[in-house]
Amino acid sequence: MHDSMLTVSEPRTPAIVVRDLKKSYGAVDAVRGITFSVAPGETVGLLGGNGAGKTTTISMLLGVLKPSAGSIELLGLSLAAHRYDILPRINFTSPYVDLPKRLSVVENLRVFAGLYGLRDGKKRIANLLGELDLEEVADRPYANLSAGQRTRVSLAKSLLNSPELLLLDEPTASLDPDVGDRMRSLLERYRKQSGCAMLLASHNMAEVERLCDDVIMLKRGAIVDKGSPAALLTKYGRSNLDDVFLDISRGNATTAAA
Amino acid sequence: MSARPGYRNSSAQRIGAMLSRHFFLIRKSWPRLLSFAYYPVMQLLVWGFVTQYLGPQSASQGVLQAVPGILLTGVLLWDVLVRGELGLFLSFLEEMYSRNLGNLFVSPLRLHEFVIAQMLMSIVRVVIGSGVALLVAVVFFDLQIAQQAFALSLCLGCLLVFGWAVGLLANGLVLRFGLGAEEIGWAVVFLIGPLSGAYYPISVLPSWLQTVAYALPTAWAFEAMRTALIEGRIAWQMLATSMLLNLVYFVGCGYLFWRFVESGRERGLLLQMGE
Repeated sequence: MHDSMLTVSEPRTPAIVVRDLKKSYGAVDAVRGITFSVAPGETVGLLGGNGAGKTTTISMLLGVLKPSAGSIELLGLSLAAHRYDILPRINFTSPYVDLPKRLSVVENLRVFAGLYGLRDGKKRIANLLGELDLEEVADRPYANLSAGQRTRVSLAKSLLNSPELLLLDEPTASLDPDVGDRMRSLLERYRKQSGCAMLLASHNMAEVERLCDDVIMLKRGAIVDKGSPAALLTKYGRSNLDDVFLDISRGNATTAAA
Repeated sequence: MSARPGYRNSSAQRIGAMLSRHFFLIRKSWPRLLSFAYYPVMQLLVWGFVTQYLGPQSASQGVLQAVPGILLTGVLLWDVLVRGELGLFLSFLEEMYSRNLGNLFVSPLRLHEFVIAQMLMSIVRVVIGSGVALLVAVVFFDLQIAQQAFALSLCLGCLLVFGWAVGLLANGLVLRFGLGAEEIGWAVVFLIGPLSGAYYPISVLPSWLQTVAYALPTAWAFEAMRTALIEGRIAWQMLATSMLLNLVYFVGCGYLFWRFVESGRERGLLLQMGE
């Protein structure tokens, strides 16, 4: 199935353009020809149940998973041809990766400041530690942090290079409501200040409703619906995205949307 | 493409960042620092006492007079090979254990910069580990190799490069088969031990095994070591052969490592690697 491009009214170079992207592992199709785009400054949610293809899609966008077919352009450049021109301008968080546990928070951030080529890493790190309320634990080993603190450090790492595009795979999973809310506020603030585009994979529908301009619903590797949260709620006659998600994932979509 | 304002596109900075990651660890952990020298020194002590036992018996028997020095130098140079391999392999395992490979592969760090940083770390391990062991050998076992220092440093270079080649292979195996292959990574360098002739000449091996041994750069490097210690000259031809073979092994293992990384990219292993 070929989906039409998500409508993006901005004439500027899109942050993400994905065309007919596929990933197969032998006979198993993890992603089946998806097509979408994300405009600069836009936040798009990637929703779907387990195995829907969210992490696979994000992995391909990061260049750590080779697509079986299709093309990816990030910030106006082909990922296949310009990977190392793109990587300094994007960043990500994912529950599948972690940071060296015996290094302190500051040491971890210094390493990544060096990897991303920051000229004034110290100042940027100091700012992020302040913004993310990590100053008190700055010299503490990463291993000794709580889950919430670790998530904030991971977010600090992902903001170090002031990315123009941020790929977020379940960024607030395992956070308590208070910390989760602060993370969402920070992401909103960063987006407003920087004009950064974000692609957010999440199971937290309230988070998606709050942060996302558009939502892409994935099921078994294919896009089954898309639109703004408000448009999807109207279309499915529901009052929250949780119910829309259930309608789609349980195959009630046609009835509900009719 | 030029870097954005406020940023550098600097290979040296990225390699430096990777080195700083390891120095931060070493700085705060004296047991880790101690472990660099612990095994080489223990190994050297065992062989040092063996040479003290053999010394008086070989003192008056021509070429055998050189045996204690050959054994101790063999121990030191064998350790360089092992440290060279482990320098790469342990640095790689650090990233696997901490599930940090995904972060690195998604950063601007290039694969060759990652490998160069690992090689530099292995030199640090060699300098600390083998350096302390050398000091022990000179002070406590009267090892006198100053006159052959240049020839031996060439042997050391050959062995270090081969250690890197084996380390790349070990890294690739772990990347491809996961931490289940860790044991192979630890053991692979010892597989070539019997064929390398660190403590005995290759001529003592069965003739068919000699052919296999001479396909390894280590056999030529250790033969060159013995030539330097017994005859007091630099065996240029042996060293050149060793280096040529090193080139083949390093390129071959580097290619395999790259293929394993690409295979990981195709199979989706890079983001989820680790414990």
